[in-house]
Amino acid sequence: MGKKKKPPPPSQPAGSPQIHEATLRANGAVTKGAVITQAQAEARRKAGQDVVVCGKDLAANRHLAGQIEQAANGTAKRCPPHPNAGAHALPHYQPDPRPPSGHTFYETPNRKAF
Amino acid sequence: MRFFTPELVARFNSADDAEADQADEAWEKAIAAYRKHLDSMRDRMPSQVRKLTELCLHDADLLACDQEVGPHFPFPFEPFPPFWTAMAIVSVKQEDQIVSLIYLLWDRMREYPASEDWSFSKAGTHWLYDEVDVAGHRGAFLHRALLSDGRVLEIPFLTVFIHELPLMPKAGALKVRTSA
Repeated sequence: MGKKKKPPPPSQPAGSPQIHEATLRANGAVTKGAVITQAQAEARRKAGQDVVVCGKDLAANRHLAGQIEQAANGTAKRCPPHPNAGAHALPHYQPDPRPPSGHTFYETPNRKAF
Repeated sequence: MRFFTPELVARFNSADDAEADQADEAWEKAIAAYRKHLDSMRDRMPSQVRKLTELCLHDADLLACDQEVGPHFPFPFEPFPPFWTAMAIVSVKQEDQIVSLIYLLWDRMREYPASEDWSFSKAGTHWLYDEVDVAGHRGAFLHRALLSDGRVLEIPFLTVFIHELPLMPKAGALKVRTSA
């Protein structure tokens, strides 16, 4: 009997940003988890959980992160990283005003998720 | 605010990609400049002020912001000015704890209103960014905080105590007012 195949991660065109589950660490760094679809990311954001958009293109990351937050929560404010949140803190979108809690983080040329 | 200005936060939110990219670079420069500024004043900071500079209250809900000014006492000898005491308490709720900043003031706390073009929500005020600065005279500091409704608090202080109160997980163990 063959083993059940794990479903492949959502396919993305080469070079386009990828969306991951995310965990915010106490030191301000963001750890990325499994690759997820935009729909899954919106569901996580509605539930107050974190996601992160990763990729080389800052504008593309920012656009996609904004779309996720807007679709999930109707409003989106972009917050630059807090100086005391550490060198690995990421900029993010969040609802304006809150709730729900959580963030849609995105990578920049200088700041990456782990 | 000297470093993390409301104008820079607004530019960071620009719908124009070029402007948003420039603001991203400007923010990185502001962080570097602020760190350099803190390094330059570190030997003049008592430990409690140093601790304040390491605090990250971003996104914490503002619960209260009060100041208590005591009466003036005439100093018995010239040329000293009348003796004056005041303190301020700023309390925020951050995740599962309430953080209170208790300041001994050297002047009244000031509040600057939001600029007319501040485009973000004024509901549910929370902490955005803050910075610590030295004042003109020895041992005197300034703590400035940009709030989500666009207001800026400027707190002229001599010393500060940071009190952290964890909220009990049991329902009803501690009632907290969450509106600003």
